[in-house]
Order: sequence, then C-alpha cells, then structure tokens
Amino acid sequence: MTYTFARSMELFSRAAKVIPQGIPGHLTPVFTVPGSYPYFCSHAKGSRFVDVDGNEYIDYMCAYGPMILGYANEKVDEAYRVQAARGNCLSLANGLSVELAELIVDTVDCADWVMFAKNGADATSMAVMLARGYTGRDIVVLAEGGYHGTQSWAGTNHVGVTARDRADIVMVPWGDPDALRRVVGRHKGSVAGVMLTPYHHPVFEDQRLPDPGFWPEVRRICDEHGIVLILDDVRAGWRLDMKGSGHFFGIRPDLACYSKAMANGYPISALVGVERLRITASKAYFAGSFWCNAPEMAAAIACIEEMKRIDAPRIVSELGAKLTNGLAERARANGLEVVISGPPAIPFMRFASEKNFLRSQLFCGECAKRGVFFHPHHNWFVSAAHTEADIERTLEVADVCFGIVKDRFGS
Amino acid sequence: MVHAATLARVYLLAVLPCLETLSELDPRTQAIAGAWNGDIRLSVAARGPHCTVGIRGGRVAVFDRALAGPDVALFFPHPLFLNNLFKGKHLVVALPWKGLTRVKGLLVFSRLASRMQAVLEGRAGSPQLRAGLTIGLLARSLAVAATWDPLFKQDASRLEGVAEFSIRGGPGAHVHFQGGKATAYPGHAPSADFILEFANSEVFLDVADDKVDVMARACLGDVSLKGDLHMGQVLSRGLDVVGRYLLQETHS
Ligand SMILES: Cc1ncc(COP(=O)(O)O)c(C=O)c1O
Repeated sequence: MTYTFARSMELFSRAAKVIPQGIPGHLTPVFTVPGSYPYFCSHAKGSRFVDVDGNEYIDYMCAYGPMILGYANEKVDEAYRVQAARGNCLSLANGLSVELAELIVDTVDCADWVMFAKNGADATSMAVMLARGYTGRDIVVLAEGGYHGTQSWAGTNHVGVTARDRADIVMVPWGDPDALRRVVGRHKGSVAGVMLTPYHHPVFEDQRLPDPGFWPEVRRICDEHGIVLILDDVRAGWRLDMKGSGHFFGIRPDLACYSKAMANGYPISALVGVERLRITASKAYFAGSFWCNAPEMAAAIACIEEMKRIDAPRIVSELGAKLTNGLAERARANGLEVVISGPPAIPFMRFASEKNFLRSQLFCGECAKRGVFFHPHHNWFVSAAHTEADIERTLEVADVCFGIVKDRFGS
Repeated sequence: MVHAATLARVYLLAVLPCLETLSELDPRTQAIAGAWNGDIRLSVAARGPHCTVGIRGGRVAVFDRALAGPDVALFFPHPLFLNNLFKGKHLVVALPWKGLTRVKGLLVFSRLASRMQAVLEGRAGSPQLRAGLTIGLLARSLAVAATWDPLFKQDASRLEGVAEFSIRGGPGAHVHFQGGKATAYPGHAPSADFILEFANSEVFLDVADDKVDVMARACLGDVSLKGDLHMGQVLSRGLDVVGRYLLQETHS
C-alpha cells in the first residue's frame, strides 16, 4: 500500500485561495512531484516527520538543512523553551548574545567576531555590504548556479529585479580560478568581494567538490587584489566540520555566513569575520526587529554545544556514506547507474543515463509514497538523528523504487 | 523591454503561421481564404525576416522565407513599420513593389488576419479552436524570443533538449533547443525533456491569458510539469517575455 494525500490536497485548495502559489518558495510542491508527495507536515521527531494525512517519512531534506540533530531535539528545544519563558523579543540585548558569540569565535576557524541576524540571506547581504564598505569598491563576484538567498542582487528572482540591481554583480563558473583571475583582471581595482560556497551545490546539477588547487588560488587572487573573500557556508556549515567548511577545505575566508544548522531549526544566522574587517563591521548599521531574540540564541548555544559533543559532522558523514554507497549498490543491482556527487552528508543523486530528471522524479515520487523523503532535483541532507535502521529501511524502499524505474525506462 | 526587430519576427514567424492552423480547423477561415488564390510575401528590410503566405483552395500555408514569384510583395524598410501594421496603428510604410493592383489578395489577407485576431482574442470561435491556435503561437513565439530577444537569448542559449506544451488529450507543440537556436514544431514531441501539460483548454487559456496562479494550479493537478524543471524555469521566464511581445508593447 502506498501513501495517499487527501488532507494535503484539501488544505492546499484552501491555501491556493489565500497565498500566492499556495506554498511559495523552496517548499513549493511543484519541484517535487505533485501527486506523489505530501504538501503539508503535521509533526516531526528525530529523523522522521508525519504529514497531515498521517503518513510517516524518513526525511532526507532535514527542512532543507536546518535540522541536524533531529526534529524536536530535547536539549535544543528545552534551551529555547526556558529562555522563551524568561523573555523573547526584548528592549535590550540579551547576555546570551555574548555567550553565543564567544562560543562561535571559539568554534569557527575564521571567526574573530560575529554579528547575528535571522536568515542566511541577511548574513550574505551583510557580507556584501561589508566587503564594499571595507574596500570602497562596487563589484561582487558570484558563481553561476550558486544560491545566496532571494535578494535582488543574488540573482535568484526575476520578478521585480532590474538590471541595475545586478549591475555590480559579475558571475564566474564555480571552481575555475582562471575564470576568476580573468574577471578580476577585467575589473581591476573594482572588485570588492568574491562570494563562493565552500563546494558547489547548485540545483538540477551534480555537486562539485573543489580541486586541490582551487581554494589556495582563490585566496591568492583575493590577496593580490585586495578583495574580500566571503564564504557562504549557510548550507554546508557544521555538516562538514565544526570549525567551518573553510577549515574542512583548507581555506581561511575573510567573512563567512552561517545559518541553517546553527540552531537546529530555530531562526538565527551569523556573519563571522576576521580581525581586519572588524572596524568596518563596527561602523555598519545592521539590524532587524527580531535579530536579538534571546530564545533562538539559547537554542543556537545548545545546538552548537551538542554538535560539538557528539561530533555531528563525523556522524552525518558516516551515515551519508552508508546511504549513498547503499543507493549506488541497489541501483546497480537493478541494472541502473546513478551518479552521486558532493559530500556524503549532503549528497545529490541523479541517474547517469539522463539529464532531464524523469527517472529521478519517478524514483523520488515512488520513494515518497513509501515513506522515504528525497528530493528529485535538490541535494539531500543527512542528520545526526538518522539511524542505521533508517538507512536500512531507506535502502529497502529504494530497491523497490529502482525496480519501478527500471520497468518504466529500461536501464 | 520589447525589441522591435524581434517583435517583427514574432509577427511573421509566430503569429502569421496561426493562419495555417486556422484554415485547417475553421470553416469560416476556409470560406474567406477560398475567395483568392496566390502568394503574399512580407519582407522586413533586406536582411529579413521574410515570410510568404500561400493561399490555395481555401487553405493557407505559411513559409518562414521569401518564396520567389509572389503575387503580392510587401516590403517594410524597418521592423517598426511592420509592427505598426500588426498593431493596427495604420502607419504602414510598406512598399508593395510588386502586385499593387492585386488588391483582392490584400483584402483576403486582411480578412484572414481579422479572423485570426478575433479567434486569438476569444471574440470568435470555440475555446478549443483558440487553444489549438494559441499553443502553437506560444511555442513559435518562444522559439523566436529564445533565438532573437537580446536578453532572453542569453538564458535560452544554455538550453539543450526538447520542451513540449500540450493540452491533455488535445493539441500540442514543442520547441527544440540546440546550440543557441530554438525551433518550434507542431504536435507532440517523440521524446521531450520538459513537458508542460494542461488538464484542458480552459486551464490552458487561463494560463495563456495570465489569469491564474500556475504554481498553485500545478499543485492541484490542473497543470503538470515534468522532466527538466530547470528548463521549465527558464521557459517560464521566456513565456513572460513572449507575453510582452504578444501584448505588443514596443519601446524601441
Ligand atoms: C548557500 C546558501 N546561502 C544562502 C542561503 C539563504 O538562506 P535563507 O534561506 O535562510 O535566507 C541559502 C539557503 O538555502 C543557501 O543554501
């Protein structure tokens, strides 16, 4: 028996009347497979969530990254609850901001100071402004296919974005230091910052790990030209290395952006920086009504301490390797070949014989109907709450679904 | 921003070919076309675009090139003149350097164009007829915009593969993207990389008229998007571009 989604559909009919797109943004069901996926979640615990129809899933999207210790993690939730009872959004800064900043400076390799906000996009936008403020230059270099949020400079949106919004953004292919050098040469003396993710995690494409010479060369180019190197570690942060993904790949950026896994789902982000950018940061006015909320800070402290205690990056990497090796094996056993790219903790899988994702959509849709939540076009996330039993069950389901793909498409 | 030279291509290579479909499906069009036999050639400047509308036995065939020996040849020294003709601004500076006397052919052509416009605007014919016409129009316009619109062609040049647009159990059209060029074909694709399927003509026309929330309708099952959704995202921007061309706002 496979899952059905009557209650999800019923809710969506109401949503469509009052919310443009019904479910806008990255959670839109359009990018999964309407008809094969649930639309609305009811509750979640550990590695699993239950949809509004009562179907349970082993979740490999982890809320698109924020969940790392498992849904409803007791330590993090308790820290949040205790602080919420003592005060949430207050008229003064909370002492927890100092504690959290000290913890991050102690934890993250490139952090000499920290500024807090809510979303990853707040952190990346602050980073762009600081790079410009520090250098007195305009141009920011980004990688094609990269994602830094939905701000008009970031290039994700096309509605309401003018050419002028993007006039000072220059794109290069990720992982190509020669292209970066050429661009920097072409805009000599005008490039304020280069913002890159630690490895390339586009949607609809294989992920790309850096070649050994890539990061040293990027650092060299930035140093030679006085450019601020910004690492957008919002997605990968703390899934690869507690000291930051820069440390994992052997690069010390000038600024780095964190959010997703920082508080296991509570809304908080951080921009961290090296000493020489401190004075510029001290002159900027960055604020948001909810940026100093204390409970999220308590949650972040609990989350970072717990991730460190259990060595979450090691756990998610080992579990991810089990998952991805198992998937590749089961695919082969069914006469199919899959390409799995990126770090095991944040893997992306596609079928080798196609570029149009028709097999992926069938595979992931069939998995969803059997209680395994993968995404057909976006990288997945493994959490420290996933268990060996989860992976075993996942592989059993995958086996069946690879068979369905094979029946429908051949190899 | 609508680019005048691209708009002229949309008119000649995407809009006029609707006459072909219309003359197959619509008895009223066949009656109008039946009044004259001959070829009308439209050319914009020396470098084109060109198109030849052949009318024979109540059927219309539209060719995307200048056929030799037309009965009427209309020459537009600049795309704006052609665009104004299509927008009904009557600032026609066409030089009928051939066939000035063949007024009848021009009259039939202009009646055909009116009929086409009425069907496309939903003032005449059934919704099914309008949908059949419009789906081909969108595919052809998309191909023109992907090849010629100065901004959209940058995005579209990265597309490789086939996109199909279809109405469930009904008509379809597809566009082949390869090496920075796009070509539209009628009917369903033998194997498409991206498939945008509408549950019925009404849903399709609502989408074409920009009256509905496509993302929401997709989640409700009225619209189905399958395959290369990245191509789908680029094409959705393309359809917005096409919408601007077909609304005939020109600024250049
Ligand atoms: C690499 C990266 N940067 C920035 C962002 C934006 O973060 P947020 O959605 O919290 O604004 C994301 C979100 O997915 C991301 O993956």
